[in-house]
Amino acid sequence: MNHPLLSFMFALALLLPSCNSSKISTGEVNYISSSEKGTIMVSAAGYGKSKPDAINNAETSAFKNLIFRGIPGSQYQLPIVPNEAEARKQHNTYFENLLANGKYKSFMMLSEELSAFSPANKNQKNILMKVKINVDALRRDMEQQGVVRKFGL
Amino acid sequence: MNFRLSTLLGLLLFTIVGSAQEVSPTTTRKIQPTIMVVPFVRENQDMRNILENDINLRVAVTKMKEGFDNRGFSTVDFRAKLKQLSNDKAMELENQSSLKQEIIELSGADIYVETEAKPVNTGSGNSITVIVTAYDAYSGISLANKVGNSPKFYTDNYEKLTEKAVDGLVEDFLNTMQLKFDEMVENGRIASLNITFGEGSSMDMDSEIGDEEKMFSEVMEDWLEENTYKNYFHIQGVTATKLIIDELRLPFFDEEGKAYRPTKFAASLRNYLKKLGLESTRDVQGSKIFITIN
Repeated sequence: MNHPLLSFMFALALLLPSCNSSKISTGEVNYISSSEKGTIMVSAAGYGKSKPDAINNAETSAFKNLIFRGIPGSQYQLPIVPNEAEARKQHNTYFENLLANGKYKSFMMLSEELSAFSPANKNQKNILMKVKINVDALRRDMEQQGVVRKFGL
Repeated sequence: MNFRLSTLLGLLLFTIVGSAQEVSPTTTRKIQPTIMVVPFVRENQDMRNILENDINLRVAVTKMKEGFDNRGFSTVDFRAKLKQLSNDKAMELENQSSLKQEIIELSGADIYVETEAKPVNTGSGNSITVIVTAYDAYSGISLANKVGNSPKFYTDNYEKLTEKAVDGLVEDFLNTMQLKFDEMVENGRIASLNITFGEGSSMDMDSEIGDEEKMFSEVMEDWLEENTYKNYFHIQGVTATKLIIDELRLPFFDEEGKAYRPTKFAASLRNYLKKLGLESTRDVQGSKIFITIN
């Protein structure tokens, strides 16, 4: 009799990890420099209950802002993906692999702490990271996977 | 047992829904516009002299070409095209800026990117300002514009400053161009159409035609509604002797994915006119289509 309820709770338990705080990304990503062609260095704030969670949050925020928002002040001020909702709908697996499953690390050339891991509010702490991204390689990968169109028509 | 089964079905449902949203990588289009990076010259300036004597301009043009190459897009080489034109011919031209137009026409470039590099000397250091603008060669529509400055240094190495200035803008410039390309793919390419009558023609726009006895201009409007991309066309004006459509949209690719050029549109219109019992000639200059009914 309780089986449908149990199965519902099981499905809910499967979904819960995707709702944790490390999945929330903020716009606290600021341009630092582009000293080498095809790369960008940004500072990114990350939030989480543990330090690894907060670092992961900062790194993924840097990537999400570069891909879906653009980084003002840099030559990547236009996002790589013009329509986030459409791209996420059509290429859900790609973005899951890239952001949630850690593929983004293969495009990350540097990840350094800029501040200590310290309390941000009652529930979580934050950290400021310096992240360097190989934008050319990321764009090429997205082109090869058909997530964005190659340059041209 | 029931619990396991319902859980399994639940997970299976998640998997099916998830995978149904995936889209296979899009196939690469083979037909692409040709792009040529050209130096900016003022009217009456000798383009060849300017390019040969201005190393900063040459660096800027080359770096812009490199930007396109990095995106996997080859460009038409402007200097090679310049050399193709014989010296005699170049010397004959009174207005040097028309040489640029001639090169653009000879190259068949769909888009040209005008590039300018200007040194700026100040007490706090020297820098280079680079201005780049991409134009549709046929319509003259501007596709992207960017101005970039190098950082200021106490140096006379302007070539290096030019490199820095171009490096600082090229990605943003290409991304802006790509946005325009996306818009074109979405809404179609812009073309114009003029329909006129030959001297010996017994027809005009007010002539009634067909079983419904509609005026010829109305018949043309009906046809345009059905044959323009997303039914988009704008009539600038219609008189008894002329119908001017200053903007209509054509798809870049036909239903089979092949290139759809303005010449195909003109051929399609001519075929329709033939079915109406009308003979016509056509002239297509880039995206400007002229139809004359004889």
